[in-house]
Amino acid sequence: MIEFLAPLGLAAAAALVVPIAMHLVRRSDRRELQFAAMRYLRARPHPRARLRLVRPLLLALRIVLLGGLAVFLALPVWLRSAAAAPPWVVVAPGVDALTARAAVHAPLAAWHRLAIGFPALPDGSDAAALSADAQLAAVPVPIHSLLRQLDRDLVPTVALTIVVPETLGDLDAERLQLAHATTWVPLPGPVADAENPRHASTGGSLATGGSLAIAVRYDVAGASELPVVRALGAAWAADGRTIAWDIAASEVPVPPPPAWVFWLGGTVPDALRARARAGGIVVVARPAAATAGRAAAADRAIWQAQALGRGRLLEFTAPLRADALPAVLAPDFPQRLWAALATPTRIPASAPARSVAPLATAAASWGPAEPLWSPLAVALALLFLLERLVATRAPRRPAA
Amino acid sequence: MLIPAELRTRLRGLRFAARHPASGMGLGQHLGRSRGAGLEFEQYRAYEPGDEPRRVDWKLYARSDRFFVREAARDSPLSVWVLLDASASMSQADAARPAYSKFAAAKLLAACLTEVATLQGDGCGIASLSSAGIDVLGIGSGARHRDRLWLALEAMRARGAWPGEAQLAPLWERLLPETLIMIISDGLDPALPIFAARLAAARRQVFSIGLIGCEERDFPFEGGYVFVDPETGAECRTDGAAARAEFLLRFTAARAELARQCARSGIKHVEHCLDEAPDVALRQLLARA
Repeated sequence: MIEFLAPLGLAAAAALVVPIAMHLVRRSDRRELQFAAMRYLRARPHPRARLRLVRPLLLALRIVLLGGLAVFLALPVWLRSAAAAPPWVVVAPGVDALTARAAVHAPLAAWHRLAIGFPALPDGSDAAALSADAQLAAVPVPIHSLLRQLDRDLVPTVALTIVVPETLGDLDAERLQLAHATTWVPLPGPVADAENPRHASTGGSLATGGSLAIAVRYDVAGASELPVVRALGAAWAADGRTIAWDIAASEVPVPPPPAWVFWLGGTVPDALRARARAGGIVVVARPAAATAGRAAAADRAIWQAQALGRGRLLEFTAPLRADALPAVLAPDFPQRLWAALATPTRIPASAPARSVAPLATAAASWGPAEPLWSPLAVALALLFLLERLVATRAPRRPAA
Repeated sequence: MLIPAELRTRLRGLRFAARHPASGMGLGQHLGRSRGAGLEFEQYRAYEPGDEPRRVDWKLYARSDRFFVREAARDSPLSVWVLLDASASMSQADAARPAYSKFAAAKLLAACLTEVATLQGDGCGIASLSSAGIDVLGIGSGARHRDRLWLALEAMRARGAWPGEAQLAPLWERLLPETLIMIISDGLDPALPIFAARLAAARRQVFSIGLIGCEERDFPFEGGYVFVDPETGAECRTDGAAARAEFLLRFTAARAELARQCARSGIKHVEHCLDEAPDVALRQLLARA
């Protein structure tokens, strides 16, 4: 089946009007003839309008040439016909071959490992193949990318069963969309805990090696948390770090460069949030009620970090006082906090497989496509030569 | 050479038959009405005063004691005029044979006629008639005169229209009564049969050859054409195939009407298509009734 990648190119076929008009215009160029017996002719008021085309062979050549050109502009591709094919089962890395075979009942299906080249999945009769597959299963692959490739290359009518571990790592930002009829089978397997290297921010200024600017803003209630902050500063200074402290009341705006800001006050102002989004780090010492509740429910973490734009927001689960948050008294607290602030955030890059099941798109009615324009271009060039040959050949003597 | 050799050979058997041989024009080969001195005895008649004494048959006088004058049939010469229609319509030729126009055919026929006349010792002359001018080469006989005529034929061109009455008036002095007149034309001008009829009515023996082009006879045109009248320049746009039937009908009717007019005036009229051998028409024309 032929499909066009750029169907609008077919509009160029409108140019067919030109040669047809050219060959028709010549028709009205009537031959003039000296005819002595003209008096016996009667002029017909409506001479029979016969559509007469001169040099029909040349016209046909030109029509074929222009039509071919229009088709060429429309970028034709040859689509392999969707023949009946067995359903496919692909098993993602992280799922054992035998486990997958046991979990999915598909006796007629073609089993493949979701890896580059889609190797066949061993059925357990060959130990060597099994071990090779086990090695393959241990290598993490870009699952989304491979699935998209499979979706494009596979004949459209093939039903697809995808066996994935329960937790999927290395996900794309975009939800997977497949055109094939897909069954999504999450199976228990090793938790893919791949770390997402993106969205890393350390506040920007740490990498320069110079002194780190830390702004501290406090309100009346926050003043009681200042001693802890000062102690942190002293501890970090003792570690040999150069820090420029800027401690002021909450009304004083924070100077522009994105840096670490300790906010010892009420609700975080929008200006600070915007600063965090621009790449800064905002440490909030007094949690909002929701954060406090969540933290208490989750575990006994001291703080909770969340990505905010390109920067981060780090909220302590309790006010930064020794009585409210005894962890601050721990001897390694300054180092841990420094490490948390200075190292990039670990943004979760894995998700439960059930939540990232692929969405169905409009089913494409074709399989993989082969471009046809290169042979077409050659054919058109030959056709053009032929057309030139015919057009420049001495025209036939007009029939008298 | 105007006449192809084979055609010239075929002309040998042709002869002009004079219906009105000229009288008093010297000796010729045609049976004349005038009697007189001659070789072939015809009759005796009684002597009348004024007869030459040498024409009296003295031997008969000796036998009968009366004067009789011996009379012989006198063979009269014949003058043949070839009148060529030199109007522009004669320049038409078929596409299949563009060099052989009607006028070329007319010149060839004229050359054949002068050849025949010369062969039988008669005098002949040629006149080409056109509104652009009337060229006349007077009556003469002999091979040299024939060659002069041929030379003049070569130079003739078809142009203009059929001449009017006033232009034709001087011609009447040259075309004497009892001459034989051959008109070669395409028969398209309505004034031509009238002129021929007047000639015939005035004791000239008139023959007419109507030239017909193959395209006029068959009308083989397909598709759109602009037909241009070579004399008037009038145009007629029409489709060849669509106009064919009606044209052929009207053209055939016109030819039949021309033949009828000629027959009414006592003119022998033959038609000659351009794809026929010229001697066919001549043979038909000069055949004895």
